[in-house]
Amino acid sequence: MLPIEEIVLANGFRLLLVDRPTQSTVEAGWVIPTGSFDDPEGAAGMSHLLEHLLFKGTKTIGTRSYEREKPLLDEEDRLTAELERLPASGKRRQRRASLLEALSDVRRRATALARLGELSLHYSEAGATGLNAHTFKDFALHLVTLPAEKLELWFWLESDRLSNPVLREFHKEITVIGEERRQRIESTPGGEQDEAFEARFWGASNYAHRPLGRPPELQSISRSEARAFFDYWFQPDRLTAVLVGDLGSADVRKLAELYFGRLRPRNGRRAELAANAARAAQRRAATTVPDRTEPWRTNCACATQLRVLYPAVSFHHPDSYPLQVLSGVLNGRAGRLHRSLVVDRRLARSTASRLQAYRHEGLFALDAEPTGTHSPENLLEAWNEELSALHREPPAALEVTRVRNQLAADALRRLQDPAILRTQLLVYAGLGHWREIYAGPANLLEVTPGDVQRVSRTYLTPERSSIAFYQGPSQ
Amino acid sequence: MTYARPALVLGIALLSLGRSVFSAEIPAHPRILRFPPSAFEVPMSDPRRIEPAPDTVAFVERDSLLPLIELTFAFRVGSHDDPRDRTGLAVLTGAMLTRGGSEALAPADLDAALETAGADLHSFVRGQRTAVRLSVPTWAAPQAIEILFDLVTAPRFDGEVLDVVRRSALERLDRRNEDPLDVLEREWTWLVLGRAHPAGRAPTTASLAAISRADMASFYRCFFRPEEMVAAISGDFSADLLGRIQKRFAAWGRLSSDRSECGSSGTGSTPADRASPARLRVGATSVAGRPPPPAGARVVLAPHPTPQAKLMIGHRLERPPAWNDPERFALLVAGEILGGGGAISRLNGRLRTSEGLVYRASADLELDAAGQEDFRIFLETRPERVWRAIELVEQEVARLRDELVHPREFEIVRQTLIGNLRSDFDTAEEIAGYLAENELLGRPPDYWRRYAQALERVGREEIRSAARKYLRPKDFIVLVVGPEGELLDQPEAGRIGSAGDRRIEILPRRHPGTLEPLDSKPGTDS
Repeated sequence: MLPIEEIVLANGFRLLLVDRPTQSTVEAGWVIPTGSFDDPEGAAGMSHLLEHLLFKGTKTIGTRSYEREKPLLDEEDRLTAELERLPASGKRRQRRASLLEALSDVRRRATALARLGELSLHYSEAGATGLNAHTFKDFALHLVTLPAEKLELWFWLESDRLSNPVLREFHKEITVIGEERRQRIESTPGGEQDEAFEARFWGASNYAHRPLGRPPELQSISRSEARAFFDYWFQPDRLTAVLVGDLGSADVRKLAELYFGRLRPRNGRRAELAANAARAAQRRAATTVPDRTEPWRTNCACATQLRVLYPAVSFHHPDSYPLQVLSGVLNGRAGRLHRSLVVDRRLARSTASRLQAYRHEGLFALDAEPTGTHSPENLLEAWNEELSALHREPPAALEVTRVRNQLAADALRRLQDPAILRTQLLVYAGLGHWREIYAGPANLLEVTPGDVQRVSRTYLTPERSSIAFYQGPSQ
Repeated sequence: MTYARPALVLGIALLSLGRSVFSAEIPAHPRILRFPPSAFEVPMSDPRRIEPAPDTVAFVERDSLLPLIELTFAFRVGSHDDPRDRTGLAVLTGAMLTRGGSEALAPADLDAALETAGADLHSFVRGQRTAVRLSVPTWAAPQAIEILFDLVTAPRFDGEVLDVVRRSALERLDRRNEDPLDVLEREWTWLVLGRAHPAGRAPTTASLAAISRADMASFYRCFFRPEEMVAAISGDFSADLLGRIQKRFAAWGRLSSDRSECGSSGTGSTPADRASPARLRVGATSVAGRPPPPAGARVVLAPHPTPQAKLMIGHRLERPPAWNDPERFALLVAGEILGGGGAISRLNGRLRTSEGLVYRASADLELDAAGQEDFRIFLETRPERVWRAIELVEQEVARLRDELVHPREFEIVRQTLIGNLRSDFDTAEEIAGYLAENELLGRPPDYWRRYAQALERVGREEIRSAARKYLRPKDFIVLVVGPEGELLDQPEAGRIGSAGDRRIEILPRRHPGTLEPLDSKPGTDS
């Protein structure tokens, strides 16, 4: 069993340690179990925006003089709020213009006092690499790789930004996120269709939007709202850090107590999270309850494909294990979908099923692309036949053994690379169960063919499905 | 771990040395922290290099942390070796090696056996390399390794599997104009290296349809031999298992002395060609009498309805410095300062941090690998900001050529490059893999061990000289993939397009199956 040492500080901050003396580096990271699911009403994209802003420095890092910078940031906030309140009508046009001019001036002066990118410079100067962060629906991760002998730098910089972040260069970062959205969703074939279909599937759930958020809502977030969000969620007892690597030369416990021990519970109040009520009301009005019975049809500049989604279970739910094995029975070159739909019947070019288990809810997905002469409708029919077969009869013991072996080997492989292991532990901690790294493989090994049949009957039924047909351009 | 407080630095720093951090409060600034010296050393090549059979080289690194074994065969053959009328052959052959069964095992039995063993077997085909990688838990390793050797020594190239693989490849061709990044990569290669260059020869519907099992078998016989590859073996293997692997290598047939079939159908190279170091520069002077595309500044637009324009800016990289040439390290630093992955990246600083124009921007020289024949800057931005972004890129390149870099910038970049090196050698598979790559590319065995020292010797003047010599704005090709109307509508378009001798050239849309122009708009086609 992989030895993992757990340290919980007096303030509730948790640290997980995996000592690997053969490495010369340490893979470091921390996770906050707050993601886009927790974005306030009317402020979709908040948690991801905050992830970006946490790179902008603190009262010490990223500034030439915080004392001189602070009044400018306050003035920027005041001007922004006044602009927001100003009616758009022509009467106040002159006032608007003068406010915009003042805003531009104060931003220019604030930028002149900032040391942009200083956090990253400290890491790079120490030979650290891979400084990055990722926001998901349930959590956000902040990662970096350090030379083992310089681990104390990580403690310094990370405990500083978790204590004293300054959300500078706020407006500019929103435009950078606009480019990230254009890259990841809008200029990716099928990206906008995927986003729309998933929003339709989730309906009013907070899982309906992606971490990148909704552009109009993102643009209307203010710095004070982002700060309130930070104060409410970033409590020390909600944070978990992971270190994987050569920890031998450092007394990690003492470093943790010294640095992360300084984090104090914050006075964040949920009431302050309430974003612009009008934005929220507008969105609610536009959201229709999804009708899962009717297939959704869309044209796209992407491959013609079938997507089917079923409501399933959350992470760590007892049925999540047989659903993973079910996915394994269907996937792979020896799996049922490839053998039947790709090789034997030549209906599909590719097929993939997966369980996507979030902290509160989950879904089971099928994605398949038909071959040139077939339609997504043909594929849906074939998919339902495969499901019916599973409903009628449990998979063979040999099939389940194949999948369990594959899943056990995959679990081992995730422990091998230190960066992947670090991230895996953070993901599990972000989902609320870091010990899943032990429990997951053990639970998968206990799944029986009967379990697989039962979950397929329970969750994967036509009346629970949401279906999308994507029609690509004809060639 | 010790640190000095700012006041102590002035006169009584010695008193702080050896003082434990734990008895003190948190230092006021991270710059005050002091660290012990690094004990990192790149692993030596020698004890890890073995010759499991005559003419066969493998690198082994044992690690019993987890019950897993990885075995990679990297062959000196790739898509650049496709015969001219069979483009796509290397990619199909690579896929069929791991999927098409062996003489002993039918494809369906192969898939079931590997998956039941918890094994992961994949092939990767690049321009000059085909790698086959197996990862398997120790308990199933003997059986899975036998299967791997069966596949690479006696592949079946099953006809039914070939149909599936080919069909999938053909349908991917149909989609290759959809992703603007695919269009960017293809048109860039053609603009910089030319369509006749081995890297520019893209598969077509006709070339894929023409590939037969016999072509595949012949290609395999010419190139997939133990003396034509380097192996990397890592993980929790026993001496007994290593002995079995060595036996399989010894039993693997060598190249036949009859070479008549190799290269007979227009293959770009033969094993003999590939033994020559000159091969890595094959595109510079070849190919079949077609000259490389004209040098000189150009602005080229490939119309695409993407809401975010994708850009490549740069030129062909003629004769990069040799592995141990100090100039190589100066150029490496110059590239990293301009647009590497660390904190210094001037492109990122200017385009993202200062102006909010991009989410990502990078400069790429790929000097640690081989076969890179271009210098490229990549970025993505909204169409209305494209011309501003180009202007900023050109300014940053000019600054690198005109001014000495700041000493702190240089030091940070040096540390970043050494930091990357340390991460690259953190696992057994990485150690065996990087050492094997030395052998494969002809990189000196001590390249990585001397790396930090070589970086130390680079001077600021040398960085500027390398930038001046290798980054040539007068030859810059600017390729923009994006919405034509929106891009040309911007007032700056005319200014950028008409600078010097440049004009904006519009590329034709292309048929995805043939890649020939679909319309006859005035423009350019290299």
